[in-house]
Amino acid sequence: MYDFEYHKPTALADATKALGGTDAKALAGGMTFIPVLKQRLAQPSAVVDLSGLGLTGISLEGNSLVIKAMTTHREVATSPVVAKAIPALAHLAGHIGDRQVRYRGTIGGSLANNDPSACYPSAVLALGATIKTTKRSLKADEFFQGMFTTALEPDELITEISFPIPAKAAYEKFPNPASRYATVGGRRRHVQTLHPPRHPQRHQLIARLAGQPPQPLIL
Amino acid sequence: MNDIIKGGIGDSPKRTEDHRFLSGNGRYTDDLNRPNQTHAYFKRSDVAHGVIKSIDTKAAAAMDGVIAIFTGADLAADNIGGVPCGWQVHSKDGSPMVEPPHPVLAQGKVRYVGDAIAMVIAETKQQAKDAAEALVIDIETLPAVSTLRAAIAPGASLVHDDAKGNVCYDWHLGDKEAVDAAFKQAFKVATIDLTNNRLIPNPMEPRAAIGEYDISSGEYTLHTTSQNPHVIRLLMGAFVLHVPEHKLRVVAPDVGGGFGAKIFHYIEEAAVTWAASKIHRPVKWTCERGEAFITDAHGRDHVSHAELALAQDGKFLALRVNTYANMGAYLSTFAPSVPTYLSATLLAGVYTTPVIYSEVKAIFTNTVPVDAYRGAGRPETTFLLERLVDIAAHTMGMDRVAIRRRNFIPIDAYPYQTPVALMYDSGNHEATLARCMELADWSGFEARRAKAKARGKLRGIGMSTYLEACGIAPSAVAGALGARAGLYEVANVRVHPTGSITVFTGTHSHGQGHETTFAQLVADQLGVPFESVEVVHGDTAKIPFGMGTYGSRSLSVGGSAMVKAMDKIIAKGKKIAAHLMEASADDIEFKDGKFTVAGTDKSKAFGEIAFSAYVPHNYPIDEVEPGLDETAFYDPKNFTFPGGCHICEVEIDPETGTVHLENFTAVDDIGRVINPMIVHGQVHGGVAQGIGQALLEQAVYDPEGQLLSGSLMDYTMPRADNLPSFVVGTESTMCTHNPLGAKGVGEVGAIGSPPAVINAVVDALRDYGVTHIDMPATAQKIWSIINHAAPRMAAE
Ligand SMILES: Cc1cc2nc3c(=O)[nH]c(=O)nc-3n(C[C@H](O)[C@H](O)[C@H](O)COP(=O)(O)OP(=O)(O)OC[C@H]3O[C@@H](n4cnc5c(N)ncnc54)[C@H](O)[C@@H]3O)c2cc1C
Repeated sequence: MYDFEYHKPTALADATKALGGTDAKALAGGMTFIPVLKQRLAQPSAVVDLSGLGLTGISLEGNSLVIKAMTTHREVATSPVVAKAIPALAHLAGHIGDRQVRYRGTIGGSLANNDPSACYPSAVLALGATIKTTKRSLKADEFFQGMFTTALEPDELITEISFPIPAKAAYEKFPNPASRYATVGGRRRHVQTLHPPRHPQRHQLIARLAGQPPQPLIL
Repeated sequence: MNDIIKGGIGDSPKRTEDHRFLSGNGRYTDDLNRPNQTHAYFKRSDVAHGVIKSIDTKAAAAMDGVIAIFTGADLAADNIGGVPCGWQVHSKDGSPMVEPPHPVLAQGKVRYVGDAIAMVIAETKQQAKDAAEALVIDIETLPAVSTLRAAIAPGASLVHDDAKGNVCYDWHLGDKEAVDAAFKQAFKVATIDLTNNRLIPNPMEPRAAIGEYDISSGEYTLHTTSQNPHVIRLLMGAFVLHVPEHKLRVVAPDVGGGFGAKIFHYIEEAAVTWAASKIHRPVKWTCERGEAFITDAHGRDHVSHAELALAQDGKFLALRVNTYANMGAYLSTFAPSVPTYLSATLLAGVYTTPVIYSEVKAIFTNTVPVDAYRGAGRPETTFLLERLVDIAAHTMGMDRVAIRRRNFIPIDAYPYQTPVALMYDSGNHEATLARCMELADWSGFEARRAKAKARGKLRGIGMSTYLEACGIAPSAVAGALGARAGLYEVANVRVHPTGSITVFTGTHSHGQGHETTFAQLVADQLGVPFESVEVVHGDTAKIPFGMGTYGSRSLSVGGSAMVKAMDKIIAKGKKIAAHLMEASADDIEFKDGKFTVAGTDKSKAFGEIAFSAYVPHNYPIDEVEPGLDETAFYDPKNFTFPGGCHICEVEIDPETGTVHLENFTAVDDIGRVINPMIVHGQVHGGVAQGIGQALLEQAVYDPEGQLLSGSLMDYTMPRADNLPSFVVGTESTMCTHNPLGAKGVGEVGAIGSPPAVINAVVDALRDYGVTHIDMPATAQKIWSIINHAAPRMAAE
């Protein structure tokens, strides 16, 4: 790790201000970012910790499920609200990485990172979610721009994600045995035939995804 | 021996050491900090092969906190040697192996990603790292050979100029003509081509070292994460630093797992010890996990072709094996012995194969050095043999159990001379087979297979019946085979005046629970409470000598040394007791902690004798010296030969190719068991590692020599949810040549399990015409087989 300044703002405006100007980076759960720092793969001048901003929480707003950016995978996995509205999303969150990762990692961090083998990006894409930032609201296909790249500007933070509640949805992934990230993952909505789990399409889903470029896409 | 007494042989007291480990009070090398300590960071090569054109240290040396920067040139100027190899193998033609120097810091060339180029010493580790980044190093990259196949290809780039064709040695064992003749008589021949996958050990505690130099006494001290501190003192003192033993202390405190990777003498140990004497301050280095992936010696990495000649009745007539073994870029301490004397000598396995011929070519590649890893050679041989036996059953249309039984060495054939040098002293293969089949419900399997099929799953069962060799010995034989060290063990049993005991052992515990097992052994033999025995290991200043722990030798060799030392204690105690009770020493019996005059009720407790020995007021002073403190060196007469049967049952999901382990049963014949709980723990750990090799683990290099599987996010270590609950049993046929009858249990799990797993996987896939699948049997390989695509070779 290189030396950096550490900020823990309590207001969003202070956070975005700290991120503007120099080479500062936001810190959410740190599950991706801290290893990057430890391996000296990044040298930010400042790290802006988002945990003091009150950006956690899950709520229903009309026909949408709204999850704030700093909500951990574990909170999504165990939330009765999510279980009722989009059970597949709870299932997805409950199978990210391992217990330690789920207690720290956040939905905002996962989306901002946009790892092609991560789980949330495909959910956001397949469910047609909207990503709300400190500057604007973005549809999934505007937000994701390729492997590890998004429309986010350096001083722009994700604040919440709004998922329209689908009639039905399911998420399947084939975990990498080492990292437990998805080797291939796929999500479907409005499909009646996905349960019980032994469905014939799963095989095809995986086979089709395996040949695709490394970014989420809708089948 | 006696009935089980509390804390004695056969009892399972909880492990004494666990309280400190589980409460965070272990004292590992990285927990130690010396006054005025500095921190070292090694700048390592990020190319696999290249010529060092220049190293400019100027800018780095001027940075904050930097104390010194050393390169290969500084070491050469100080006449510091390379780290030596501890085993010399000769080629077929009698010539010695090619043994290139292994410099502490690279001299002229770098030969693998991870090769150390410079050592930066600073006040803090951060500062050392910062300065290492400021080093300006110009390397002209050369073509690299990162796999066995690449290294032996015609015109391949040479890792060392004097190793033509990258061959280190071309060795053989056995009677080639007799084997060729037997093949002419064969009814059928079973063949296999296989790769024994390269593994990365990953003990939980990364390596660490602290070097110190005392300017007033001229003494050096090294604290290091080692399985054998005396061996490190010998190798580093005599060959690298040229420091005599009495001026060099090596301490291996608590060590968090070794699995072989911490046997070897590593360059960092020599570098920090030497540097401490240059800067007159202690120098500490702790390896990071990513660094461990590219510097800890890797394991396995053999490619073999084998053929088994069969008679019409299924009898094995002859075995022929041709192996290429990857040595990596330099010869690690015991690397040459692994594919030869630790592998090929076991090719008879548990079978009566009358003639065997084995050829082994050891090959240099631009990769991390490869050396012994849990099982060291025996897992490789067992995998080859037990896969080949299954293929032979298939070739002959015979049952897999029947063909094994037909070829077992019968119990009345013991002691049994194999055609590949070893003489087995004891074993009972039918007993372990029968017990394991019963525990695994082998006969009920077909019903389970049918049920699985109804659920859409492919179920398979597989077994391995193995035998392995532990406790390399005797020293004279090991020496004749190329070992550059003795392989005896040392124990010092110090009885204190009030009867408590400290035992000093030359073996080392890095998770095995020696502090418990050895205390039980001593408590049992001397009839003292388990709690009053303390076991000390890991410090050359305290322990007379020792060869350390590997090859499952600690109890069979180290424990036997303790028994010998205790025999001396008892003999001396008898003389003291005879004097006190006015009897003849010949009439004194020692049992359950009491010296008794035979046929009388006159007796003295062990503690009374100890007290007399240290307060010799009424004492046979003309006959015996005061004190009760005895040392024994024990050189075993032979290897010990644990064996057994492992059975694995798997279910494959044909949609994804994923293997799920349903049951795993192990019945091992390890001779005398001191602590059954610890024995089971050793088997559990070994089996988990074997399953890791069979299903999950694979070191992968790209053609340029970059390690692709260089982190725990890419390299799959087995985890609890990959494993079923194991069923473990033991059968004990005693070793006939050591005083305990102990054979060794540290490695059996990792040796017996991989072929059992793969035999089960192949069995599950029998409808797809598969006869072999290389490890690790990943979902991808299996999915490809099921979908009739050619499996991709992950190791290429
Ligand atoms: C062992 C392991 C296994 C894993 N397995 C999976 C898996 O199976 N599936 C999966 O999907 N993921 C997996 N992950 C990743 C995990 O989900 C991480 O939590 C996620 O990648 C990043 O989230 P974080 O909160 O830790 O973000 P951080 O690591 O703190 O940040 C990641 C990046 O996002 C930026 N960032 C964070 N929050 C915001 C925000 N609100 N606005 C703008 N930028 C922001 C940061 O600046 C940084 O660049 C795994 C991680 C590990 C370590």
